[in-house]
Amino acid sequence: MKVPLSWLKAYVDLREDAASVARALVAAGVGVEGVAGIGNDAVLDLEVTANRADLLSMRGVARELSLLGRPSLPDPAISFQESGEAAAVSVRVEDPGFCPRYIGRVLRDVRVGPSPVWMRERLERAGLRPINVVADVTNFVMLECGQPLHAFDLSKWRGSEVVVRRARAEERIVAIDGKEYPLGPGDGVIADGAGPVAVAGVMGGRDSEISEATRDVLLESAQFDPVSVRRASRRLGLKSESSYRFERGVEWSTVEWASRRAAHLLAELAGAKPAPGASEARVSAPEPRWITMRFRHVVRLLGMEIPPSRMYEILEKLGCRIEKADADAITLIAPPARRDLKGEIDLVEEIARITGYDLIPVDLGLGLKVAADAPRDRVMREIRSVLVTSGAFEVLTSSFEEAHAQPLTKTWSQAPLVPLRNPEGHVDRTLRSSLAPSLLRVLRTNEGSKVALRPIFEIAKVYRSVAPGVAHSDPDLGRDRSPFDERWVVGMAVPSGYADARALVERILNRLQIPGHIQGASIQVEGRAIGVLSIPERALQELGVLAPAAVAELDFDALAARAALTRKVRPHSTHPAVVRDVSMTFAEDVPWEDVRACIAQTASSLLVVAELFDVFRDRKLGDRKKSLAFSLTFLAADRTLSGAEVDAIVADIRRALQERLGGEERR
Amino acid sequence: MDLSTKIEETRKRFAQELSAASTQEERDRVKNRYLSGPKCVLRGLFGELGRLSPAQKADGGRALNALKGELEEACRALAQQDRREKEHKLPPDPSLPGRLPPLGRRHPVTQTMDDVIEVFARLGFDVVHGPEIENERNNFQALNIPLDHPSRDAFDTFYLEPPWLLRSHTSPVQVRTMLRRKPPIRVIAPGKVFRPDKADASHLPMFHQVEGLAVGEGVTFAQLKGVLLLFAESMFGVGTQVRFRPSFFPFTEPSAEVDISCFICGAKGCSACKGSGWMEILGAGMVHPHVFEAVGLDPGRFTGFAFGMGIERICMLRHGVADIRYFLENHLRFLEQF
Repeated sequence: MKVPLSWLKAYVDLREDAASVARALVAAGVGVEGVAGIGNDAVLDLEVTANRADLLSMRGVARELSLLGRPSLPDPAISFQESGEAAAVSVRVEDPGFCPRYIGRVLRDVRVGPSPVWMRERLERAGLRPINVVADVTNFVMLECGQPLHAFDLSKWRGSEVVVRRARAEERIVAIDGKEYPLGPGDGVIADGAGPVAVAGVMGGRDSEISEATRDVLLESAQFDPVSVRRASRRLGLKSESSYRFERGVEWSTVEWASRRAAHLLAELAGAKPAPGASEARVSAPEPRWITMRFRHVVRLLGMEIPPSRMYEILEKLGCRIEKADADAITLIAPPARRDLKGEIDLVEEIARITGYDLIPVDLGLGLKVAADAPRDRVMREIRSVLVTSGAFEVLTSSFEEAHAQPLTKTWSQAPLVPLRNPEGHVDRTLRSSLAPSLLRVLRTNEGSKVALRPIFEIAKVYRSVAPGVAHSDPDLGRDRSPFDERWVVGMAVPSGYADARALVERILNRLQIPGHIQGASIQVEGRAIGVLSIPERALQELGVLAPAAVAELDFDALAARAALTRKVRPHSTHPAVVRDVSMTFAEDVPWEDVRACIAQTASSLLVVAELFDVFRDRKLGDRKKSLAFSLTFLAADRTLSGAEVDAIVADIRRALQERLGGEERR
Repeated sequence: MDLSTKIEETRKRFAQELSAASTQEERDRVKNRYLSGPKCVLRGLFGELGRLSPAQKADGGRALNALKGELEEACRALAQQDRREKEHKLPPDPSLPGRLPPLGRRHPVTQTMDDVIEVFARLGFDVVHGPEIENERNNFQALNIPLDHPSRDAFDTFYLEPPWLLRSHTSPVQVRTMLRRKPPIRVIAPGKVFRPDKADASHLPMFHQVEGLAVGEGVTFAQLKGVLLLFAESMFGVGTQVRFRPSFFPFTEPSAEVDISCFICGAKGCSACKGSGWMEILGAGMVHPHVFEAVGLDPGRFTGFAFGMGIERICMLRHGVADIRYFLENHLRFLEQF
């Protein structure tokens, strides 16, 4: 809200510059977005929090500054002569819950022209466009006291009754913006004898708008239910200074003050002749808000000793009517303008902020405590560490996916995707069920900028609807089990292909001490698939990734449930190892996996490592043949191995490979 | 000639031949003749063990193994010396790159998140998690945010099938924690949150927060100030000042916005702190009695404080990242700088 300092000074005695006013407000919790200078005036741009409806007016801000020690000035004058016949307008409120108070006041012989320069200037500095004297006065009074007003051209009124009610089916209204709006059954309207003339608290209708030709005015000042106004405003997509204030709540007694203040100004500035009295419909005035505050409670909550006398003083200054006070507690009636003060805690906050948060001491005595172990978090950190030390880059991608007809990659579940509804209720996006597409898009982005690609990974949640009747469990979900299954997935995309992706997966399993194996595209642990690993050709093509990237996705919960992070050591040998390199020729269709298994079966326990270091193909080897070169490391726990002993084992291995897998010595 | 004499002879001859060999090739030939293959000198000597008595055999074996070790060592030493000499003769280029395997990186948001978590872990806060798909009750009502109330404007929300939604803050984890644990409670809840904001230099529809909560008998605002001062000093450096400004959050009262003194300009005023010397980094306050009531805790007995911060924002301040969207773009040239 824009507050011109010159205007503010009409209500509070300020003898300081705008910066000093801003500092005082900020320290008390009233946000100041900025201070702009206009001529010799300054305009404060206030950021008013949702609880402080009382600050949405010049007088409200002035009241706050008085609380902060600036002397307040007398209230603006209200005096006007009523004349002519009593107006033949009556007010009927169908739903007092929606409209607890409505005052309609008739003003005759209004000269609709421009408002005086001083008023136009104040409105402009406060960010409102001057229109004509009637509209300007309603806006001026709203900014002055926070109560929105509306003026109707009385000559356009059909019948003599003002009806405040909910809209009926099929009703429509053309608003002052010239657009037609269909009304919903919950929307509050102001209606004349023929139909709605305004959306209550939100916007007036075009047909009853004040014009140059207007002579008689019906001035509305009312209190509407904040929730109904908010719903109507949001549903219609109409927001106004009025709806903003009604949503936050206006004050009962100000409804009348504002009506009289506007009559005073219109009589003075536009020659209006207020008709005697005003038509009013109201329920009884709101109950006073009684609050009891225990002095010890303030100290217990803030951790600061504040003398009760000081608290008493602050509450009194706040405008509280103190009914009873003793050594332990104070009982009072909250000031009507501060509708946010409802209970003890609200008074504690007032005392804290007026005292100043700076004065509350810093207490380091929360007490020593060891944070509980979080094993799942440790597993996640370990996985991240394995991947990063292996040269992979962690990325962060959006949880949203465009709604695709078919998933691009194989995922962990075929249950329905989770649709997101936009404000209009349409589904244009879903929550992702796989990390693979986002990871591949990251590869493509980087390919596009000619960066040397690296393995990338992300640990994030993926989402599915739970198929009916399927149980799911997530350690994060305690109560309130949702019909959605969200789970952590470790996803990686490896531009150099399948073998490296597989090696990364194996490294993770190894570090977590999970015995697993990879069968084609499936990562298996204890006979259960806990992940997938493949080169997703179709997705690569569709997303335009050039590298033959492999993607893997692992179910994090499955890993966390089986992981063992504490390692037990075996005694290690201090004797030298003996290494023998072997190369043999095999048919193309013999996989390394089989060769390795054969070596492991044949060798004694002295063989500790069998590592492939070269695959060689050459015409000389023969058609559909390949040469595998591998090194075998032998080690004994208790002695230095002799070369002869190792050579004998290697000979056995060669023989076994020859007999079982058709391996040939290279010639 | 007995075995020990032969060993002695062999040792001398090997030394002579090795020292006579002037090239690597000649030395290899000497080495092979003595040490490699079934017909080498040493293998011959081992063969003679068979003719000895068991006692002599043991002694002889030991002596031969020792000889073998000696000869191998001599070859190795000479080869090493050779290599050194050779390298010495080549023009040295100490600027040649090493060939270490490349390092990967944790994402900058993860790095900042881990640092924040570590600081609070040192202060005794347990890490807890909550789901990203939440219901209205935990995200709003239980946190004293009524539906259809202007205080919800700050929490625009992605909806699934009502009442399900994507949590718009990590505060629902407060609710879940208090439903499941009894005080004293001291937890932090890191995680992703979602708001339907248009992406620009300082907004993303998906970002990360860390929520903190302490509940017990006699937890005070003064302790909240203490914990956040320790956090600020651990995270941003000893001597960092902390400023509390009154504010409004529906689920805390009294509420505060918390600023730290600008660590870029030393609180003198710069573009990062918009000239004020202060940077806003988190929101905090005392748990509202309505929140305690919503989770069945007696607000007459327990008090508590809560705080929450945006991780991307802190990460941007620490590293001078100008645009929050960089975090989601994942250009390796950006990520490799962390």
